[in-house]
Amino acid sequence: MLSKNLHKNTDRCSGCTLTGALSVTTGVTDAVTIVHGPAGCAHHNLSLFLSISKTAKNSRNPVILSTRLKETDIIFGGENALKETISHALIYKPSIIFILSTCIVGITGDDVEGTCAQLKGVKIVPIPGEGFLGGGFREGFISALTKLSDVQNSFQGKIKSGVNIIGERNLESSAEFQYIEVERLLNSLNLTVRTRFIRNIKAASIDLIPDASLNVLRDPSLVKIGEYLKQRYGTPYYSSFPEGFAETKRFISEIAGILDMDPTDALNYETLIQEAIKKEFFDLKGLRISRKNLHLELLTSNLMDELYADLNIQVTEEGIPFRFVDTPPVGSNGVRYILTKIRKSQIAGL
Amino acid sequence: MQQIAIYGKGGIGKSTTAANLSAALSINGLSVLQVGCDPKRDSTRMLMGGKLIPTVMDLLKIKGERGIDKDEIIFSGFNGIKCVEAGGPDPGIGCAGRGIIATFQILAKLGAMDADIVIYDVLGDVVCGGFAMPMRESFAEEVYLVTSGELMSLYAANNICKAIERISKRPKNRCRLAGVICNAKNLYLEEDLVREFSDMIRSKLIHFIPRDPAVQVAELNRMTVIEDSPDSEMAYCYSDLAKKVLNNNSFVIPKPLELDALEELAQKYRPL
Repeated sequence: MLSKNLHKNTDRCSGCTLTGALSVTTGVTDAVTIVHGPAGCAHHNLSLFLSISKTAKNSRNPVILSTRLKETDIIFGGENALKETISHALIYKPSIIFILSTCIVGITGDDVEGTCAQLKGVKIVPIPGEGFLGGGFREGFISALTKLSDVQNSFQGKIKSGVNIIGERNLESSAEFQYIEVERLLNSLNLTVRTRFIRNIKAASIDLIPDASLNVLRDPSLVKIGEYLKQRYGTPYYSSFPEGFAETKRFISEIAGILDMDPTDALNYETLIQEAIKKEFFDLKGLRISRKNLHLELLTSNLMDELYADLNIQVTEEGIPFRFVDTPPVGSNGVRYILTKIRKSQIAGL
Repeated sequence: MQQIAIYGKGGIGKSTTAANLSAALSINGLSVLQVGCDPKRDSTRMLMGGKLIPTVMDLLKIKGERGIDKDEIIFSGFNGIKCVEAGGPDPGIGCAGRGIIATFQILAKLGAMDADIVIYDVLGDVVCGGFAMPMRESFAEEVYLVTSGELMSLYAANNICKAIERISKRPKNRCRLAGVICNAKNLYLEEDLVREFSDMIRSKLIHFIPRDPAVQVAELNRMTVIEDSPDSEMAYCYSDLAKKVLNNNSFVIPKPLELDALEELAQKYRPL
């Protein structure tokens, strides 16, 4: 096996801190993100977004500007370059401007907060993105969400309703599919999604964060943000999207529990869906699939145990070749999705 | 070409020593270039009649690297001594160390290090890699430490020894400690103390500069002592230092002291 295909080398969480932060800020559609650093830092990330846009269904090109720091800016400080870039950003008439600090300005100590505080007329949110401080993609992602959870106007104690989705993985090609499935599950409890924090939303929607009656986190690594929002606005949270049949049912019943609702109808409906899926893929019973090209998160998830228990599908060293490099799919329809992929591999191998 | 760097605690008298040394060397008929490596930019002021000259960093900011001409950064001071100031960012912003690196690159590109003797007068302490630039390959091979007998000054000198020790271990690096210069503060048994410190770090006390008001008077007159009172005892003292620097051939990799040993030494010379 080539080393570049090893799971440890493809972990999405170990990339650049800046990419993690950008994956959040670019989810605000009327925002401009300024990368405060050398041109390459912004270019590298913009290239990533453009290449993802080619495969993603609802793609758009976010506005990412660079302060394009050069040696003289490092020596004399990059604060003027930052001010100039912010002035330039106003051409796009953004509702909000995010400033992401790169490693070099962290080393030279540019006072980004102080510089932004001097500028009036547009909301500016500085976000630390210095990777050398001991973080990767994941830390940048959380850092940006944390900062954004702090920008909304003061909470007026309105009546709460609806559910916020916190921390969707915007760079995953299946992000929208994951959302649709979670929205379906919430709808089955007669709940609606209020704010997607942060995916394809306007800056004004960030202000609505306090109004939801529940926050659903994408995964447990976001618990700190869940706790913070709970402390600040009293909103309870559920800590993860569900993976596999059992977790999906637990998702429904526990959310109903938190909100004091009756989950019986939703659970009955979900049971029907899950039974239909098992029936649909009964022909795959006893299949052996190779572990070589599976995402580590998938290999260690309950979902694979369930496939073994329900359909006797086993992951072995020498099964049929099966490639699945995404993180585990979400909900009952996620199980259907992965079984469809397995069937395609089986047909291709015949 | 002999290239020397002068390091020591801030305010200990490096620039005064460097300027008087440059003046004394030039009186001996040598061409001298003094490069101030400190954003404070006042290393060469006493050689320039009290004027602050435009710095390399000033020019870089205004004209960019390619637009800089040698004549715009090298100024002729007392007795034809060539004076350069690196300069740097305003206090509290930017990265002064990177400024020193950029200055050295510009000077090297322009072929500005052109004199019998080049003296680099470097900011108080080796706070980052940028201020170690003069010690790197192709620049200064001799480092002189300026210190008084005060513990904090010896502590700073000892820290600089750590930088020299580290850098001298690199392949091809020829930077060595050339000696210790005591710029006295009139302390008890000061010369003996600094001599013992020098021995302990495996170097030697190369010269003792007594405290003398003639130096302050010359500075008030915006001159070095060599220029202001060429027949004074202090002028002879600096001339003597110049001769020792020229004839010095004992360069070592220093062995920095642990704090305990340094404190023990200071205790030994505690005033009665």
